[in-house]
Amino acid sequence: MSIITITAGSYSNGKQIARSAAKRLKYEYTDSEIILSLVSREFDVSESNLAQVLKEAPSGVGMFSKVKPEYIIFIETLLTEYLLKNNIVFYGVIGLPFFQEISHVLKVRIIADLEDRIKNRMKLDNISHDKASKIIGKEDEEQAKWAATVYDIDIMEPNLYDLVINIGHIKDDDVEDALETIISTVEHKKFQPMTYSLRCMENVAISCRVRATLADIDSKMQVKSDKGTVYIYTKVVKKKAQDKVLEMKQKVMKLEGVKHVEVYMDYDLFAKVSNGQ
Amino acid sequence: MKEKLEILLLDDETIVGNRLGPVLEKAGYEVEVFEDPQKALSRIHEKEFDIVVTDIMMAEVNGIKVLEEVRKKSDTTRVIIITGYATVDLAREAMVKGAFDMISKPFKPSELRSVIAKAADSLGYKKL
Repeated sequence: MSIITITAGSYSNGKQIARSAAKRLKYEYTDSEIILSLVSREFDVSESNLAQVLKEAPSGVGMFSKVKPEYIIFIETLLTEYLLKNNIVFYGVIGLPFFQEISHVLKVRIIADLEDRIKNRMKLDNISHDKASKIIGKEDEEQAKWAATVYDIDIMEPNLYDLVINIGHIKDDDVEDALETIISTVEHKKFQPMTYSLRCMENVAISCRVRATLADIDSKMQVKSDKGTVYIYTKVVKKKAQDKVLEMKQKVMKLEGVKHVEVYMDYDLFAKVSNGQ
Repeated sequence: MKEKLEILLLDDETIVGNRLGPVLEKAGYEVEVFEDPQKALSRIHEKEFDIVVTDIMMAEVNGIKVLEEVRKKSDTTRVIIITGYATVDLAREAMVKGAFDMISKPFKPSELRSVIAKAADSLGYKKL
């Protein structure tokens, strides 16, 4: 009944380990690509633009950029709702900070020997050692930058994970050992779901859905929810405050599982100054 | 098999026992309510309850200690933790030490009834 999230650098066999773990545990496997196709259908955004947002963090100033901050909110929404089913192995970085407060989510980071990753890439893409090394270095840098920009986290920080597995050399035995470690860990009692942890997961999913619903009003708002009560923290211009609060409440109250909405406003100083208020 | 499941309910806030005790009795359980953890522990040593519902943050005895004492006495008693200070660490500690479930306060009586029904089911009793 648990959830496993696995992240890894490119060509570290992370995806293979995630798929094998799901198969062995008879869990469902999912990853960012699968979630993107669901997001694309529901929010009518092209999969290529959604895929781009997972590679390139939105700057927040690119009005005409194809990569919009709300795309991340859409992906987080469908991912967290998907994970409510439990018995799932998810491979990907997105949503990682949300899972820190869910006791039945086992968070795993796979680390592999850099030279082995380079050799893996050389073999698969038929490229030189130098080129493979540069590509992998760039991908690691991009993944770290993405996590720092979007979530303000250091992806390599061990405290983010319940389990960090250094598989060393990428050989079948090492992958098998990693698999055994993950399976035996998730079967531990402390990763079993309970009423409290399931409720925490529901709260996260509702908060994400609220952010997605209100993304057109404020994509940077913060939302917390607890047992159907939703707390929204937003920046609005004073003149429009009442209209916006009303609009937000009306939209959010229509969502499933929402019983009460509270909106807290922090008047946007920048907007005040630019409007001469 | 006993006709009624026996539940010990421990919370140092009077209002919790006053509110939940009658609700559980009405649902068909035999309930003993305690506010004093020491008295509850003495009762646990005397009698094997089917289900123990305990708060965590209490002045004299921590709810985890209650859980440990129940486990020493019985492998089958289901322990349900109710707390207003739920965290990931506490949830995991409770599960490792053999809790059946954990609910964060505040909760509706129906939520506790639902968790108790699950515990009863796991003991082979049909849902009341």
